[in-house]
Amino acid sequence: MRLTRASTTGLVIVAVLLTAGTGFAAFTAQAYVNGNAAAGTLGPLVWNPGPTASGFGGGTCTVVRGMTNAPDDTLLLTAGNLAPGASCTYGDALTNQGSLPAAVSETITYANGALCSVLFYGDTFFSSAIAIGEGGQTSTTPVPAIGAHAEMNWAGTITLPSGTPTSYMGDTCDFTVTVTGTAGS
Amino acid sequence: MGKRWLMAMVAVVAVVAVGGIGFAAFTANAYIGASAQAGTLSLYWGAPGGTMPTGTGSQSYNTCPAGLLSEKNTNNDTVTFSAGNLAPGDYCTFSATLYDGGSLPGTVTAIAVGPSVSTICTLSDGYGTAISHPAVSWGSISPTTPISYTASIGLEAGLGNSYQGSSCSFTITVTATAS
Repeated sequence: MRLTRASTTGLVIVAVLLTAGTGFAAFTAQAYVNGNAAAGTLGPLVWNPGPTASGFGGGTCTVVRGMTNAPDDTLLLTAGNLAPGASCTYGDALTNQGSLPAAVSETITYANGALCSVLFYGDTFFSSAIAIGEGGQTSTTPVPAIGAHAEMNWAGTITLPSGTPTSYMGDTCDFTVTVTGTAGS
Repeated sequence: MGKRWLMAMVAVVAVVAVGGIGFAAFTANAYIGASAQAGTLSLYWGAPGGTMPTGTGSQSYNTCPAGLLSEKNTNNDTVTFSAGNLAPGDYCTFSATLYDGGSLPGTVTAIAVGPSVSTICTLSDGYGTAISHPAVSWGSISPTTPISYTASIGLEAGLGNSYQGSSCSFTITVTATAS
């Protein structure tokens, strides 16, 4: 068999590479970066034990904790037998059990009953009491964020204004206020 | 143009989906459920187990009927005293009990309006109510604390013969206020 010049050249190169081992084996070492990210938790927001209620003007005022979606996430207020000028005052603290600070605001998410058109509600978020009306109002009073595993004091009032007409005697108003905590964007 | 626009929209959606710019955040809720009810205040005369209106004449010939009427806003909100067959200086004494049928306490005032002939009738009660006189206080009333009311209605002493057969009428409006 007769080798061509090209074949001969190729064989020479292969032989040289096999002999010298240039580039096909080397010392190696590795280093690594392990990445891990964990989302924080926001809430649950829960009402503290021992909420308080007191009345002015003869109203019957009570408060207990309850549950809407999670244990103790709801404060149930009642203001009964209100005369014009009477009010009920409530107090408690709201705890953020999560690991993230919660920016909080409030919205009246439900209102029902003839008395709502004249009844006023005020609290830490609605520092100027508002007529409940048909609901839908969102608080505008700046409230500091509730830190992780921290609490904020809360106080609220329900008032039947002086001068409420006799036509509202015996009427009722049921309403729900939703406190929303937010973290992130 | 259409293809380029479509590509741009796809790019925007992709960026938003990847970057999550402002469309999602952690939230947690707490709630306040509230229920309020206005109290009630209502007045009525007499009551089951209570004192029904009565009348007694100062003379045996006086006629002094008393009764309850339901002709105004609610049952028994009106008591009627009628003093008849009076001679000058005679009177009838009436008693009734005013109840608070509501849930609220109140303060009570009374004002008398009338009579049609102002010079022949007299009215006196334990609260100083007089005919055609400004409002006077009857004090406090509550669902558990009624007001006992006694009044004397008579004919002025010293009236001459020209007043024989004449009459007067008046109305006392009793108002309870809760505030």
